Amino acid sequence: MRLRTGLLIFLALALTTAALYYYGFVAPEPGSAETVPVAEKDAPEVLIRGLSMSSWADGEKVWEMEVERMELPRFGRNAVLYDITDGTIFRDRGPYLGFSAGMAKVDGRNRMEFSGGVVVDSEGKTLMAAESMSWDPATQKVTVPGEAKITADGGTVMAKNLTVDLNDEYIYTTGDIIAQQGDNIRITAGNMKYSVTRREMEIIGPSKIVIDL
Amino acid sequence: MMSRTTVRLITVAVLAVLMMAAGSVSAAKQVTITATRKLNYQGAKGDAMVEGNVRIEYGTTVINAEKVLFNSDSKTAKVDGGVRIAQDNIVITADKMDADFKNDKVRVSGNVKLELTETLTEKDESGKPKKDVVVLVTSSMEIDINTNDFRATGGVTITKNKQKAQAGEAAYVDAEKKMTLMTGVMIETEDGDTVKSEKAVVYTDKEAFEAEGEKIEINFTV
Repeated sequence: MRLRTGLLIFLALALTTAALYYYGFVAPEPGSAETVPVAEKDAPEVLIRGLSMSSWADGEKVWEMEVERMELPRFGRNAVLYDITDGTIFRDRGPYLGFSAGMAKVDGRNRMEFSGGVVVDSEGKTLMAAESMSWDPATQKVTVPGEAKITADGGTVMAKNLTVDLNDEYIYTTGDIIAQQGDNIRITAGNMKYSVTRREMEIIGPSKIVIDL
Repeated sequence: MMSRTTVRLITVAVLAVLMMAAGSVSAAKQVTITATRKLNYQGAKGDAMVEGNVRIEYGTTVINAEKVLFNSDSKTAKVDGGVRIAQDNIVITADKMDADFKNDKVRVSGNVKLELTETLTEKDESGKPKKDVVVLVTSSMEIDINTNDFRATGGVTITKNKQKAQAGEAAYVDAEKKMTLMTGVMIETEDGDTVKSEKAVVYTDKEAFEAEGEKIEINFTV
């Protein structure tokens, strides 16, 4: 064999062995290719843990809440709050409604979109539960776009959508409602107005009550 | 080991218990209230104020009023501004009503008028059973909405065809079609004759009446 031919064969074998070693031992498994960590790429610009937040207007506290963490994203101004507890909405210088939620997005106008198990309570008792809820402190309107459940005095009201005007004492529901008091009273009706302070339901229009004796 | 007979007996007993349970479930009663205008409900107190063409259905009883206060805890209903109660062959109108659905009792007062339509065994010319209407006017009455029995107090006037009766009180037993008149009874017949007694019994499905008491006074024209 000529020297040149021998060198070529040796080189080919060496390259084959190297390739086999690389793909067999060094190269990562298909689908586990190393990439830039997602968490780092999407990380917020600012992350704050353990917050007590409150808002004031004309020298009066409007609301306050405890937030486990707040993220300010790299793009856009909307802050995201996680694990909201001990929320309080004040009215006439006193606590009016309490609230908690899994998270909330706050836009530039301080409007909050709550989601992840929103619970509103009154005098320490759960008053309302919903999957999502929006609150505009400027208009003092709280809106639940989907199904909401109001709980009070052993009764529940299921409504298709709901609005709370914090300037007055009422929860307004639109769409058909089904109210259940204990196991034996069911009320079906259209729109409803519920007084938070008087704990009284008012229905204007047709209604039906069925009582099991 | 249980014998086959024992197993059969246990099976029959279990089935009987299940049937009794099913029977008790189906026997559960309901009150249904509908209204067209307004409903105010206070869950803590159990008070429901319903307004506008209010209709209460309870078994065969239908109550109509403009405004009803219902209490879901005590299962009572109160009407102050006129009420109409219809049950089977009885129709009652009155100014006020207090109904107790737990005990199947309804008390009405103020301009109480009861119309009791009785189907007679006699038939008319077309072959249909004749109907008699007994009209009772009083100031206060308590009705058992389970049995249709009632008791009227505070002065009672009863009209049946051209017969008229007056008494201090009246008690009606629907199963016997029997109305007992008490205290100062005076019955005026179709011909204008009068019978006065302490007690009288009027049968709503018959033309006859019975006067009772130590002193019975009959006035008739010869």
